[in-house]
Parts: sequence; structure tokens; C-alpha cells
Amino acid sequence: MEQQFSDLIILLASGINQRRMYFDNHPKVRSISAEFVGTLKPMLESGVQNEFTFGVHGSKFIREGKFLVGPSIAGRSLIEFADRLGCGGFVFRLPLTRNDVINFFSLGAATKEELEDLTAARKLFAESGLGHIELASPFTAEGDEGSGGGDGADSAVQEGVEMDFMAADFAPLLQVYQALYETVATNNLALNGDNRIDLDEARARGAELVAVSDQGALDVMQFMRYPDFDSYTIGHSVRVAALGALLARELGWSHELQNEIATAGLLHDLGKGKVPDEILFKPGRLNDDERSVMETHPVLGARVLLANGETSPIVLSAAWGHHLREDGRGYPVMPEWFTRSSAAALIHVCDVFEALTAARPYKRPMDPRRAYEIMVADKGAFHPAMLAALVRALGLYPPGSEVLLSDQRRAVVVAKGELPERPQVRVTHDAEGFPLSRSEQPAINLSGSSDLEVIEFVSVGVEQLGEAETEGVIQNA
Amino acid sequence: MSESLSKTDQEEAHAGPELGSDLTDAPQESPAVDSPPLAAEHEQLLIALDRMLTTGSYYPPGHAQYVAVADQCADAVAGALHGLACVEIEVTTEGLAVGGGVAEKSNRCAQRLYELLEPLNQALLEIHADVTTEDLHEALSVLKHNHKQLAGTRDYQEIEIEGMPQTVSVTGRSLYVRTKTGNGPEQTSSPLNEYFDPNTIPDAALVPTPEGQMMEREFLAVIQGLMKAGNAAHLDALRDAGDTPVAEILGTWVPDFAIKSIKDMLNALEETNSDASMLHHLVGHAQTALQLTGDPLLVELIFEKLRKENKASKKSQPLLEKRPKPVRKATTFTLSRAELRSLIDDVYTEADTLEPLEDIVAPARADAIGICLQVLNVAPSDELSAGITTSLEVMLSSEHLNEVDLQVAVDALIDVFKYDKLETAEAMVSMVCPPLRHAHRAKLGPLWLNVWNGLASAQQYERAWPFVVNELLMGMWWEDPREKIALYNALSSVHVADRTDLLIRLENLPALKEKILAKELFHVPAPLLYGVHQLLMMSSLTDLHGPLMHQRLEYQKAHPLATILMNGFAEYNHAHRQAYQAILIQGVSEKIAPEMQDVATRHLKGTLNRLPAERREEPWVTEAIRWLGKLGTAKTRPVLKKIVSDKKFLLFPEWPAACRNAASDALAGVNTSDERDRHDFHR
Repeated sequence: MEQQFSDLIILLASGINQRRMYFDNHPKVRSISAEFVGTLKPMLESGVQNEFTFGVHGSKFIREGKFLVGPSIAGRSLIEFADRLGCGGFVFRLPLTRNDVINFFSLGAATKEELEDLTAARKLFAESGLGHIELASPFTAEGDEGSGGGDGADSAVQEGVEMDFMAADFAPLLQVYQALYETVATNNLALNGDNRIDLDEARARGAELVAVSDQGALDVMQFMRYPDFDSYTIGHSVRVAALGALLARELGWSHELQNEIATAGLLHDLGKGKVPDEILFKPGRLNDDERSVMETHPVLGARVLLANGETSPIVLSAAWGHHLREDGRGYPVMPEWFTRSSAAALIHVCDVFEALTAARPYKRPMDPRRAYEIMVADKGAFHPAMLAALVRALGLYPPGSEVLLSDQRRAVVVAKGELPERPQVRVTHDAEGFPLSRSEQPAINLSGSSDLEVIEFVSVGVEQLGEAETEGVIQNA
Repeated sequence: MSESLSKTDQEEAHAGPELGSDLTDAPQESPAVDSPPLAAEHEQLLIALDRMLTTGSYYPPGHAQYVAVADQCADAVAGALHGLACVEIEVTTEGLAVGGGVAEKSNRCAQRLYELLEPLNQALLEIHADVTTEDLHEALSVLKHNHKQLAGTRDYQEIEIEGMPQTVSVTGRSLYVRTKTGNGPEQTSSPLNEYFDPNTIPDAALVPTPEGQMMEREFLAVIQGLMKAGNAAHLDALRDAGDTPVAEILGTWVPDFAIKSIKDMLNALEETNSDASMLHHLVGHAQTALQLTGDPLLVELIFEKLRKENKASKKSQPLLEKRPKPVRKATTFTLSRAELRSLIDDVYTEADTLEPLEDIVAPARADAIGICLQVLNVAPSDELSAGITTSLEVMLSSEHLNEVDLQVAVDALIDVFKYDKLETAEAMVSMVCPPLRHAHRAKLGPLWLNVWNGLASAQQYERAWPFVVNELLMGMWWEDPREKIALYNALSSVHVADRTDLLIRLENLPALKEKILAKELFHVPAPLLYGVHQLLMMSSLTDLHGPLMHQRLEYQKAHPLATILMNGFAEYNHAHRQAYQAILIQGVSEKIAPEMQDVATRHLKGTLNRLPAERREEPWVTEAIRWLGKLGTAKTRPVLKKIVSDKKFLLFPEWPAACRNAASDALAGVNTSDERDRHDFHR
């Protein structure tokens, strides 16, 4: 149920983005509206919920007192819409038609200025035939009626909103990741419309990512769950960028190079915007023809970058060569005189790791330890220094992972340990699953504990892939 | 109500806050109750219990850490007992009360236990003297389990704690007997109090209440007001009402706003008070109160209907939704931890044996140059071409450009010439050479030499030839003159005579299009670039090229015969191109080339024939006459004779004596046949 709520929010944001680029009756816009209604209707008709409601405050989505990390990253367009309306959230009830949802997207795309107040916003909705979509009042501080927000409201909401370990540490990074997601989404959309992509924006966001990465490694994007492949493609690039920046720092590269690598990560899969959706988003294995088309995306991406004036060798190299193996296999097929750079090798490692451990539609995330098994066993695939850097930077359990300890307590990894399989953790639940209050969560360095160890990576529905499926995941990354 | 009560008492019994009265008339707050601090041993008890809840739960029973904490807890219990049968910990609004002292709920030692017991609506925790550490562990586990279950509650139900060990017990608030001063019914004036179970919620008039209890108080006040009226007719109406709302049935007996108040308060209580048993108990009291009217069924019906109406229009979400537990599917690993660790160590070792990655940008630059050149293979659009041009310009102009970068360009160019991709070659050259010329001009020549050396057949050379010549014309600079000569020799190895196809390709390249002719072309002996000059003489650049070439040939004095011919020309004349070509062919060779023989004979003959008188004294003329004699055939005899015998005014010789003598000597040696004897003529 929680995942469905997150999916619905992400779909609303995606719909606004698509509507900005296209028109009401465009297939992509209609498709998202159909998916939204198709997901919402059974949920509400089942009687478990009679409305779909969520709050917006402080650039975050909040539902039942919980800060929704994933949708908050992916939903900036919807957050901005709510801010302009001056509302504190939305309530959707049945009956709700696809046209209603398309109208909602249109309003979201068209509303570019802040409205006078919530009354004006409600009037706008009513005049647009959306009076039955309720606009919630903004959050206010307790006892501060009608103030419409402000510092008091912010702190009141922050105190009231439940923040688990992940969310509390991630909250300061939210705006950076929102901007990253938005940048990739915008560029992908621009590509579909054969418009110019914004390389300067990508570069600026890459630099921001590096700056916040300086505060410590935290693989926040591993918690994203995507309702559709479009969202996954975007989130994938953001996570590759984040992982790339971490590895570049681990390798001791300069800040300037880290920025370049982060930018390269954001742009490495740009070429997928030119691959037909039927192939790109096909849930099953690709046949030979489809595979041939898919394998053109690195070349297409490099061409797009060049046509848009990209001159950075690192960005170009990563876009072109991120599917080239160290042993020369992979794609695109290159002449003998061609050499792959270490930047491309680094992005290659991050790309494959992300693809294996991400939660995509039709595929649940893989335990990182299993992902490492696959990667180290594939001799000749990866540049040894880059693969070593990945393990050294993240350990077997990337910071931010939830893990089960050998004494049955649950913990969150806060930092890599001296040994890859023995990270530093913060215990969040006791052996019976009782959540510990934030101030009392003990920190343990498993590298210093001989008795305690991680026995399992905790994730909803961690998946076991077969060999053929694994290969497909890697090749289609 | 009992008949024994006096009328005054009855009146008093019915008295109470009027419906809708200002409840602030009733005392709202109790006199301040001092909360003395905990005694040291009781504080130690709470601390020990807190540790049992935290540290003690991290480790399984039997673990050394667990045993240590459990022992401490047992000691603390013993210390708190003071010889009593059990120690009691009471849950109050302030916090936890033990032995007369109170630890506030925000106190670190009390907070966790308070937050465990209070939501479970437990008012008392008793620990008996014969408790064991296992009993304590079990008791706390049971309480935590129930606390967790509370999170999954979707409806309101009385909480009953089951499974507690015999030595540790809890008492729910509904059963708890308050014995504290300031609580209890005797201090209130309500005549209903005797019908209330004294072990119930605190009288709000006596102690400060949180919001939930305030509402409960208001609720009771409303109910008390309802008690004032009601009869059997209303009961019948309610029984037969079906789904008709209560408000429609009760009419003026129970005013609309009263019904609404009850419904609102029921709703608000459900939303704000998670204590299901409290609400149940409250409603039970209200029913009891209404039963004083003698209509228990009426009361039952009212509340039943009100509850139904409330639930039908319920808007609030369940307060505590059961959070889904993460579903853990066991992952099957193909490697044990040790095996994986070993493989990872191998990766580390392999990584450590590699050369350190010192320069990341340089390999990326070489990579990107290759990418740009590779993309050119697929007919790029104008926009893409512009992008590639810009990228290559940046990369090839880089001050850090190195041999690896250049080799990429060399290899790419070799490719296009090898596989006859001339259109791509044109684009590639136009994007590679200009930035090199601008920023690294000394590298351009060696680049082309390397390209040439990478080719392997006459066809491939011919494909590359126009491009190299074009670069020559645009300007090449050399640090190593040997490399220059090597390339020029290589160019000369291509036979270009009558190769209009090569000329056409050259014409389509920038140098001829833009009429660019680098002076460096003439800084080497012209014959070294014979083929280049030959084609240029036929090209659209001839007007620019010719005079410069004439100067060069005149200057270089490669062969005496060439010198004589050039002297004879005086200045560049395109009509003499055959002679220029012959001179170029002759070069510095001592053996007279056949072409030179023919051309020189013809030109010397013509030149001497037309030589104006004022030039006949020039030093070269005599030598020219001698050469004509050497080279000439019978056809040259008339010219020689003319030199010998021409007279002005029939008296004075036209030619100087030296010329006449040379002509006489030449006549003696000139070949008598028309065909030139193809001997090897030497200087």
C-alpha cells in the first residue's frame, strides 16, 4: 500500500513534466493519467482507503506523519505546483476520470506563478472542473491559526513528521537530489522533443552533488522505488552520478574531476532517449534485433552531447564507453586503435552495480553482496582499480542500507568499515523489531566486534536473479 | 436515584453543569500537587529497567552482556523492595511514581518505560520480590509485543496484557484504584459520583488534564444534561427508527446541538485518544448515568445509533496504521563470505599492481578524440558536425596535447584512406588540421608523415595525396627537416602527370578554393616537389603559383641548362610551362632527361631566334648557343647559321663575336638528322 502511494505521487509529478513538454492528448500524457487512475481506483474501491491524500511541506511529501523520500526526490514539479497553489497537499477521491487527471497535469504545467491564496487556487480548480480534487490547507504551527506556514509550522511539522534514520540524514540533501532528478528528467524530455539539452545545468548539479558528497557517503538512491521505467531511467542516472562521485573521491581525484565524473554520470544514458520506448521499457528479454537497437544508445548519447556542444572528454568518453568491457568486448564495437579511458571504466562499474541493486518495475533490488559476487566473478569485465574503488567506497553494504545483524537486531549502515563486510552501523530496532528512539540508537563499528556481523541485507522483496536475467540486467543497464 | 435521598439531595443529584453551560465554572485545576523526587534506590530501579529495555534486549539471554545488565536489574529490584513483597511503579500524568517520588516522563531513566506503559493504558507495574531476571526479560518482551500490536490496531478494543510472568504484573487503568490525594469522588459535588466506579479516570475538576481528558469531561457534562428529560415514547421511536438519524427522532427532547455535540465529541475522542478502553469506559459511564432516568434501553439505543452514524461518516484515518514488516526473502549466495572476500582481495591486488592513475584527463581526451572521429563515419548532421568541430578544436588545441592524442588522429586518418572513405576524410581533415595548425603547427607535418607511413598501397597514397598537398599549401612547419624531406619525397613518389582526377580533388580542398599558397612550399628545391608543382601549374592557382615557382627555379640554379632556360624566360610566362616542367624533371641530375632535351632544344631555338639585339651580349647567350649545338638536331641549324651570318646593313654582324664563334662550333657538332640522337647528354 505504501509503495502504491509513492507510485501515485511519482506518477502525478511525471504527468506534469510530460504535459509541460507535450499536449493534453499526447500518448505519454494519456498513458500516465490512465496508469494513475488504474492504480488509484482499485485501491479506493477496495475500501481500505476512501481517499488518496498526501501533504506537501518544506519541499517534501508527507503522508500520515512520514516523510516520503522517494517521491520527494522525484516529485519536484508536483511540489512546486502545490507551493504555487499555496496548498498543503491534495486529496483525491472517486469518482475520478482520466480526463480529470489530465486536467490536473495541465494545470500543473500551466501554473507558473504563485496564486494569491488558497481560495484563489480552489477557485481555479473549480473553474477547471476539478473542484472535486481537494486542496488541503498548508501546515501551520499549533495555535497559530491561519498563519499559513513559516518557521513555526516548519519546526512543528518537522517534530511531528516521523523521520527514521534514513530520512533524518537525508533531509538536508533532499533539494540537491530533487534538482538532480529534475535535471535528468528535463534533459530526457528535451531529447524526446529534439530540443537542446542543458549541459550547464547538468554541470552545476554535478558540482552540487560532489559538494554534499564531501559530507559523507550515503547511497540514498538505493531506496527509490519506481512506478515506471521512465522514472527508473531518470533515477538510474542520478544514482550512477552519485556513485561515480563517491568512487572518484575514493580514488583521490581532484574536485574538478569529481565534478566531471558526476556530470558524466548524469548524462551517460542520454542516448536512451533516442531508443524506442517499446524496446527501452520492455519488461522481458530483448531479441537480437531489439538488442542491436538498444546497443546503439551509447553512440546516440555521444552524438547528442556533441550536437549540443559538449566538449568535456570525460563526459563524452563516459557516454560512449560505459558499456565497453576491460577485455575489449561490449559495445559499441570499436576499431583496434580505440582505447577506453578510466573515466568510462569508472562509470561502467557504477552503471552495472546500480542496475543490479536497483528496484525497478518488474525487478526487485538485488542484495549488494550478490551483486559483488556477480561482478568480481566476471573476469575481464571491469577495470580492477575501479572495481576495487567501488568495494572500498561502499563496502558490501552501502551506507544507508538496512541490514539484519546476527543478534536479530536491525541496523542502518552509516559508513563503510575497515573490512568491506563489516561496516559501521546504527542499531534502529531491537531483536523483537521494536523501534528504538532516535536519540538512543547505538552506533557500532562491526570491524571492532568479533561476535556481531551482518547476516542479511534488508529490503522489501530482495530478488534472486537467474544467470540469464543477470546478464540481461547488466547489458540493458 | 435512591428514594432515600432528600429533595434537596435529589435536586443536587440532578444538578450539574447545564447543557452547554460554561464549563469553566467548574474548577479546572487542582491545587498544586508537589512531586517529590525519587529516592536513590528507586531511581536505580528505573535506570536498571531502562537498561533492560535497551542494552538487555540487544543480546540473547545467556550472553555475557545480557547477564551483566540483568544482574544489575535484579540488584536494583532488591534495593527498591526494602523488605516489601513487591515494588510498584505507577504511571501518572507526570511520569512514573515509585515509593512516593515521581520521575517525570521526560526523564531519561523513565521515558522509555513510560512510553511503553502509557499507550497500553497500564496504570501500574508491580515487580514481586521473587522475580527472576528471566521473568523480567519475559515481562518486558510481552509488553513490547503488545506495544507493537497496538501499532496494528484498526479498531478500538480493550487492551488486555496476557502472558506476563507471575512475578511481574500490570494493572490496566480501568481497574486501577487511585489512592492519591486529590483524586477520587468525595471531593466532587456531582451526585453521580456514587454511581461511578471510583477507580476510574481522574476527576477533571481536581487535576490538570490533557486535551483528551478535557473532552471526556465535556462529554460527561453533555450526558448529564441529557439525563434531565426522556420518556418511554422516545424509546419506542428509537426502537422502530431503523436507519433514521437519532437527531430526527429525539427532536426537542434532545436538542440538535446536543446530538451534534455528542457525535462530535465521540468523533474527536476517537481521533485524538488512542485509548480504546478509555472511550469504552467513558461511554459505559454515560450509559450508567442515563440509566438513572430509568431507561437503560433508551440509553443503549442512543449510543448505539450515535456510534453507527459516527462510523458511517467517519473521515479520519486510522491513527496507527500497521506498518508492513519488510519481507525478507533469503538470498542464495554462490560464494561464502570467505570466498567473496578472497576474490575481492584478488581484485585489490590486481588493482595495486597497475600503474597509478595519475592523469585521468589525458586518456579521456584521447578517447574523446577517437569518439569524435568515429562519429564522423556516419554522415553527421550539420549540427552534429558543428559540435564535433568545436569539441575537436578544444581538445586538439589543448596545451596538454600529447603523442597518444595525435596517434589517435593518425590512426583514424589511416583508416579512412585505407577503406576509401573520402567524404569522411574530407570532414576529418577539416576538423583535425586547423586546430593543430593554430596551436601545434609543428605537429602537423609529423602527423601527416605518420599517416603516410601507415598506408600500404599506391591506391591508398593517391587517396591521401591531395589532402597532404592541401596541407602543404596551407602551411606546414617542421622541427626536424629530415621528416620534412621524407614527406616531400613520399609525395613525389606519386605519379601525378595527367592526373586530372587528383587535380579535381585538389581543387575542391580549401587551399585552392581559398587561394592559399604557403611560401614554405618554395623553401625547398622545387624539383623535390615536382609533382606538386606540376599539378599546380595546371590548377586554378597557377597565376599565384607560377611566378613564385619561376623565382625559385631562377634562384636555385639546379642545372646549368635549367639556369640558361630560366635566363631566357626573363619573367614567368605560363606558356613556358612545359619548360618549367622539364626543369623540374631535370632537377639536379647530371644526366639530361629526355623531356629536358626536347623542351630545351625547342625553347633555346625559339629564344635565340627571338632574342632582341640588346640582350645578345648577356653572359648566358653564348652558353645557350653551345647547348643548342649539343642538344639540337638538323632543325636547329638554321638558327645557328643565322647567328653566324646575320649582318646588319649587310656589313655589320648582328651577333657578338662570342656568339658567332659558339654558333660555328655548335654547327659543327649539331646532329644532322632530324631526330635527336638519344645519347646521354651530360653537362
